[in-house]
Amino acid sequence: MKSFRILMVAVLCMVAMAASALAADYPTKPITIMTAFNPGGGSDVSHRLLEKYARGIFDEPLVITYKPGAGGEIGWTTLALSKPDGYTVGGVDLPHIVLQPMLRRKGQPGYKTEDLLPLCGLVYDANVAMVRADSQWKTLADLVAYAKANPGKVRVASVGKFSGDHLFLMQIEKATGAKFAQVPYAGSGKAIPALVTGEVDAYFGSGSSFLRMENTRGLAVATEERYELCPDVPTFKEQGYNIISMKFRGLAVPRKVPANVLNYLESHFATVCGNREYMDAVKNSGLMPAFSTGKEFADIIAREKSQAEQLLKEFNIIN
Amino acid sequence: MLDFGVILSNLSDPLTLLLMMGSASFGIIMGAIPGLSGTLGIALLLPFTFSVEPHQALLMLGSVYCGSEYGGSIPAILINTPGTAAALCTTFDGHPMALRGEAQKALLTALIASIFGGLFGVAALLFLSGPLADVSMSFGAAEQFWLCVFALTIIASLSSGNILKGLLGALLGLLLSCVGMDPVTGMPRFTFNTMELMGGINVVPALIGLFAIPLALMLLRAAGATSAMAPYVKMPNVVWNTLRDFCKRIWVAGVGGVVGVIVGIMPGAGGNIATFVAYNEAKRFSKHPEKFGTGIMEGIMAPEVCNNAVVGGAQIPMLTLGIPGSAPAAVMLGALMTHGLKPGFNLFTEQANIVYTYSIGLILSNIMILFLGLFFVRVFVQALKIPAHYLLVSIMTMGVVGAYSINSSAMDVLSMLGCGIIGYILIKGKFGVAPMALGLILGSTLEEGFKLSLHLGQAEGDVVGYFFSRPASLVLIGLTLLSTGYSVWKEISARKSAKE
Repeated sequence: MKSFRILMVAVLCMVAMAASALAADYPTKPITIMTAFNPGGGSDVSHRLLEKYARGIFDEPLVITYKPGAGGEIGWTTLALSKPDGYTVGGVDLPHIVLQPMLRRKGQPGYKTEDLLPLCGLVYDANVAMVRADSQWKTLADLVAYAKANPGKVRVASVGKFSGDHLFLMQIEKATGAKFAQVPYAGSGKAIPALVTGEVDAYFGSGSSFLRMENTRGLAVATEERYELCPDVPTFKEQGYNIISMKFRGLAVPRKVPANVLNYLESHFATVCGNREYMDAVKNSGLMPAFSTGKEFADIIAREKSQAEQLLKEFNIIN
Repeated sequence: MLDFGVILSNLSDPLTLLLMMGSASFGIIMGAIPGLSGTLGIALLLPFTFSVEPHQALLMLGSVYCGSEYGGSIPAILINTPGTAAALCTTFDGHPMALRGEAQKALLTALIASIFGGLFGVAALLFLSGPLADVSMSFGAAEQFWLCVFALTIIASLSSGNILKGLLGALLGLLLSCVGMDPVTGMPRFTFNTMELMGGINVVPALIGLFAIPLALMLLRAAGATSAMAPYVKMPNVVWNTLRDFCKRIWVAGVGGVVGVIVGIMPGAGGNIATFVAYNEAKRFSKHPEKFGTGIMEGIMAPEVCNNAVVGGAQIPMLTLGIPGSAPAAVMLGALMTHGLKPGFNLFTEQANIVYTYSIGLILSNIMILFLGLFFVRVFVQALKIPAHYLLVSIMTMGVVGAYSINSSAMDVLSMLGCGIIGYILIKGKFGVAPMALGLILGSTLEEGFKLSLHLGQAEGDVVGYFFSRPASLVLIGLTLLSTGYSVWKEISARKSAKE
């Protein structure tokens, strides 16, 4: 019995030490970056670039793991439920993390947007309306005029239904009054060949997809000013439509992560994201580097959420 | 900018060769462990490539990819459990051959076939990437659907004698593939409001369950019953004999290679479907189709040549268009971009030295796999000397670890065990597990192609016309009809001759 007590005291001491060690010097072991998608996708590339340029900046290496399934639902629910010790950081995508909880069927379990504590924003991906280079539509006005004359006849690829691309499509329909036939593909890897081969007439989706294609024409980009990665494409604003639409990628942790850990992560990711080489590599992969602090990223999430909510209500998808 | 001097010096660098050798071995092992796959292997190795040159990085990852496609055949032959989904068809003849005591010959056949297929694929990548990239662009949603329908016709030959049982098995597989999110609308189905079923029944753990668990249960049978375990028999001169027999049947390798490259370049199809098509075609063109499934070399050659030819095929659209033709190719694409290379036709001109070093290097890595394989075959065949009661425990352990390690998900372990029980019942009821596996593999691809075609047809105002008017679709429909008609004709003539 006595030896058992000594053992107990020893264990307790170690737990206490471990706890204080956690608070005082973080990190003491590799930090996991959890990707909610399969290896090879856009999220994976973003995280791999972080992993690559974090060497020498973080005191411990970053390790990428995958928790794919159900369009990110599984990964983000796992993230929300993971231990808030700062060793599990998840990549989060907007508007996915506001749309999924909003559209989730009653009774179906899953994370809430508020369960994810925004750590920082990393990159954004501006949405572009694109057609093939040999398309009959030279400008956005041409396309809109045709679609208005032939409602539901212009086949438009989007990645997913009730997704960021779908919101973008709704924004365009709302602003222009035209009606399109949406063809929801499972990923950009399917939507890109669909546009290139003429299976669809247009693709309203990510600029990163546009930058990967040859022989395509961007009709309009949904940014405030011209988009640095494709400066030849005019904005919607220039053409008289107030459409701003993009996807954001950032990092989040479960609620209740200690403040000092949050500070460590935020400041170190800020350093990584400030690296010129990193920024060039991100641009080369078709994304726009745009670091934002946890607070700024939280504001972006809130803004996207109210915008999505409004749009979905107008289209009678939620009430 | 293409400079053969640079390519030569790149490829003669001892460090590069050493890295490739290590990566190829790693790939073989990843492939050989059920559950661990080439996709995972490439993802695991990726961070280690950050500190080397881009061409070295690509060669390392490419070697893992090639190695894993070969490695998948090893457990398929020895313990009737495909190491990767693309090695599923290798079990049909590989395991019966091993049961006959010819495990070494089966393993060597798989090795030679893999190398042949690998080289076939690389040749296509090197010489035909331009035209083949164009071909890959003629496959759309409708073709994706029809390819799956065509692949389903293999049920007839998988279940010769009782097509009804085969169809039931395939339906069960298709039904299970519906669990989870709708591939097009993203709405959950059959999830019973649980998070766990949202991700659906993952194919790889389900395959481990269907194949490995029944085998393990069969090993439990009392002494005296026919053993489910392949015996270990020494075979002198087996390497040369296998090579000679391989050359005699080289036409099978040709069929496998062509199917592998063509299905490989199709975005969204990949090795899993390709091997079924290759196996079926080899069987159809064979002079003695009835021997397929009893443990003949052709039955190993077709799928193994095919899944390695997919490696080259799948990288054609990946490198030229930035569209991966298979899951491992998708990870390779990510790796390419992490290393600052932009896929597209410009890659072949702007980064010619890297691309050609890589493509030519793949030939070298296939040759390395040949020699590594000769060594691995000797090692792995020793597994047959392990007493059944130990082996049974190791198979079960490996199954659980493999299923868990894919997505670190306990649900995958459960679905593996569930499929294991179903598999055992199916085998006992003489249904066989292959039709169900086929249904599971094809399910979501089939559904996605069907629903997208519906959307597209609706926009055109002619849904039926959309399915039946595209030229590439018509080719696939023709093949499907031929394949079905042939099976029916075979069945009828078999019954007639039985009556007489």
